Amino acid sequence: MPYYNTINKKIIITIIIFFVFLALYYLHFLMPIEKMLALFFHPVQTEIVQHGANINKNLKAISISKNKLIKQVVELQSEINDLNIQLLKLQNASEENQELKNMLNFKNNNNYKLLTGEIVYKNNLELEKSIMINLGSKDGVRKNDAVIVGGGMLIGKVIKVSPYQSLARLTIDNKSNILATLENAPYTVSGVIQGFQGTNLSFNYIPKNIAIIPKQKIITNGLQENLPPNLFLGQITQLLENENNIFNSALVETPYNIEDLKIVGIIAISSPAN
Amino acid sequence: MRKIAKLSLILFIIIILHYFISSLLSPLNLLEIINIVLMLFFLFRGIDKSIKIALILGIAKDYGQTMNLGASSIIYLSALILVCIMRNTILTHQNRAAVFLLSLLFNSICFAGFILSKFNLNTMIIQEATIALLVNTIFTFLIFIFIQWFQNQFRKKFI
Repeated sequence: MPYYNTINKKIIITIIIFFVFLALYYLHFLMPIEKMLALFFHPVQTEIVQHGANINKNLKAISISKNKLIKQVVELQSEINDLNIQLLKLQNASEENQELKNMLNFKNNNNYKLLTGEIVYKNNLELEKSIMINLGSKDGVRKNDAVIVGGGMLIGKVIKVSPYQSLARLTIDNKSNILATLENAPYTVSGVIQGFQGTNLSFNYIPKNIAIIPKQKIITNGLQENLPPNLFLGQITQLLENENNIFNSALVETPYNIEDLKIVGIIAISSPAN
Repeated sequence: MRKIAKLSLILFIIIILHYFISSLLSPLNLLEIINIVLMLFFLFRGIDKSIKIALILGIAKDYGQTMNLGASSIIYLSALILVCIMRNTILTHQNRAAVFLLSLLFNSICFAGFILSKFNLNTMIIQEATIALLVNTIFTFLIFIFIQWFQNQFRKKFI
């Protein structure tokens, strides 16, 4: 009996300490600790995410070229793999460079304040498709800021901000809603882009009288808070017509792949310009 | 002091592994290293130690993943308490079937808790959660058997 009493006491003390810790965190008393943790963890997490992305690329490459590899001569296999790894490393460096160049061009062409950050965590489950970025309110990130890659490709919106990091919900998440329109269309279409089956997007609320052509580009219409117009969202692949519904909808191909994301840009419209 | 350093190192490795696995392709990212570790801690070290680990890992997971500090810890805590009640009432013998059932129960409560905490439910999510439940339960069970076998071999050789 005394043994169980000691265990019970230990558990109760642990739970009390836990709730005190939570209270201190939500009252912002743990900011110095948070800063120290961010300084230590973010570079480690960035490295992990980059290694993860490289492994994903290798896995994809292996699964795609499996049949080819079987046909190839056994002696050459190891050499080819080594070369592939070297090539992937070079491609990664080149892609990263291109990504940063595109973001720089986007920043120069538009008068937005663009913050460049690295992904420190990816949540790639059906339940939630989100990324954690190593920029927070101290860097000028605010809730609802647009998250982009390349030359203005919208991948999500910031939903939560802490001083040293921010959480962005990706457009493919089934809770995501982005007001969008068709690029270069003779008529105005105001639809909503929503996540579809965790990998694609669906363009909803298209009036029935409007003809949609596959490969038409979808862009933001600028009516949503903090989302500038003309950010690329994807290309239409298929029109989904239903006689019972008032509106049509269309399947949209996602232009990015969550597994390959490493660097992102945040358009900080709401923060005061420097 | 040495104990704290050892525990911190173990927790750091677990968190790093969790971050790494989460960044991998689906279905590899369904492996929940924290669930497996907590269940093994519960089976080998008891409820008090596993609760401590659960609260710390839950906070670390939430900080890096959702910024809702406390949510995962509460889910892990309730799952551990329910599993403990189950072990002290129905599944009192620690045989392999009991371990498998306890592991299944722990993972079920955790995944159900995560789904409920997001207010998000569709067939794809249920499908994914079922696969994750099976994968994590089987992994926990296999690791448990391996550790038990290793302990037996160790005892035979040195004791």
